[in-house]
Amino acid sequence: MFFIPGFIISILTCPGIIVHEFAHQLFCRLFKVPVFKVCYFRVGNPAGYVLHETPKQNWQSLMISIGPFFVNTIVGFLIAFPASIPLVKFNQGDPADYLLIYLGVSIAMHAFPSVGDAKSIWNHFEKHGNLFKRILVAPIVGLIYLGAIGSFVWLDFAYGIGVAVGLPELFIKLLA
Amino acid sequence: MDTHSAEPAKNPNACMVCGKSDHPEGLTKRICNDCRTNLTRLNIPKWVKAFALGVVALTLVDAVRVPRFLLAGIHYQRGENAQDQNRYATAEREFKYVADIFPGSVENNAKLIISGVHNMDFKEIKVATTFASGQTSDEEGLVEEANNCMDVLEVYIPGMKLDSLVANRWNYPEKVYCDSLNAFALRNPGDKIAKYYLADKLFDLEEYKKSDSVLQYCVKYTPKNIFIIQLMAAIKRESKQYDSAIYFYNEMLDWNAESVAAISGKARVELKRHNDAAALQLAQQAFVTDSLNPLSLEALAMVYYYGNKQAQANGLLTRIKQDGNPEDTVVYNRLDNILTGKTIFR
Repeated sequence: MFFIPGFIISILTCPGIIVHEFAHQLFCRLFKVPVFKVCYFRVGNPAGYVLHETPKQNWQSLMISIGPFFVNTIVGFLIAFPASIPLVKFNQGDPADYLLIYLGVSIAMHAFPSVGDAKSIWNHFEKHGNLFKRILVAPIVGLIYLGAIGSFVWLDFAYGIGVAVGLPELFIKLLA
Repeated sequence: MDTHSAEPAKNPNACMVCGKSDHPEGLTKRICNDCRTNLTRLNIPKWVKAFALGVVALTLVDAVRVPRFLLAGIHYQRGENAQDQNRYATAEREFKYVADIFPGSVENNAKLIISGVHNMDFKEIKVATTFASGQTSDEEGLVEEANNCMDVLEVYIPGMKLDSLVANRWNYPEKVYCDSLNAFALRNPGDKIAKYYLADKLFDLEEYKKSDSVLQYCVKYTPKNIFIIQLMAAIKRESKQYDSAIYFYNEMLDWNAESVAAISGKARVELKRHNDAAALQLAQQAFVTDSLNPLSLEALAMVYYYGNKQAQANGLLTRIKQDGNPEDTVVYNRLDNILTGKTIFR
């Protein structure tokens, strides 16, 4: 296992961060939650963020926080899919295929909500949720933290590869 | 007179964005309706839009090829599934489809070689080997499997001395060539390839006992070689040892459940036994398995011929000539001799 500083990973995978922040913004738009500021990418910690009004509904807050999981996964898959068959399955890719696989992996690997997102969910439910709702949301927050810890052992990268390469493979297996 | 103008007191209900209008009650932040509408719009900077447009354009351009590539992926997967079930005729068909789209895929060519060897399809082995030679692959296991699989072709690769004899075989009468092979085999008692060629020639000359005896040497050293097993099955069939012939054909089917050579060979055994109904069933099975294979056409033509359907039999003979490769001439001539009565098959 080798260590690469976080800011270098952020720079190398900036398309994923842009899509991640866009996903937060998109879910805010869906729930008509005002957005005050969006930073799609910067060299710093966090590498991107969205400042928005606290939603009225608990589930809206949850969805805004975990929105990137769905958006990045779907977008990463869709981008990588046309390239993954020639490149990965038949080793016959062209430069465009390499670029699309890079984009697909970097976007999908940023699908995991950040620790900041987890904190945001927890703070919201601490203020506005009762004990039952907090118990319900605790596993999601726990999973996000686990994902963040897992990123030290390249779990996010493995997820990106899984979405960009593994899912098309699975798709073909199901169709065959 | 002391006067001072007092500043207007801040409106606690003013919008926190524009500071003008009052915000509606019941919402988290003090934002007026106009500002709220503005802030809930999807305001995306131009550079993000340009980035998204670039990615979408690139994806769409690449996506044009998706239907073809997706089909290639599906056929490749079906080929792999068929190979796992020892159904190599189906596997070869699927990999050929992929080869039309990705002719340079080392992995697909390796799979084609494996299925080609199992189907004894020399033409396909040659094409796939041409594309695969000199290429590298990450799947070393697969390439090694293809190389190992090609080991069974050793019976067709004579050593240098034998090669000059085999290359000139058409210049001599069959009997002279056979005697030369016999002399070579006696001078080189350990050369099993020479013995295989000799057994094959003896079979052509209808000297089945001698052929069997010579081939036993090859069976002893390479009992699993499919070409040796096929020749052994044919010797047993022509020696009227039908159960033994079926046993060897079944060995071939263990190796390749869709071996047209084995299925059509069994049909010929059943014809010899005068079990014409069983022969028809097997010949049809061979035809369904691979309708382009001259062996399946030959078996079906023979069944038609002995079922007094001369026209259908002749039609299949013509098809072998039309569809066939130069290597299929042997099958054509063999069948032609049977249909014209020059060879009495049974």
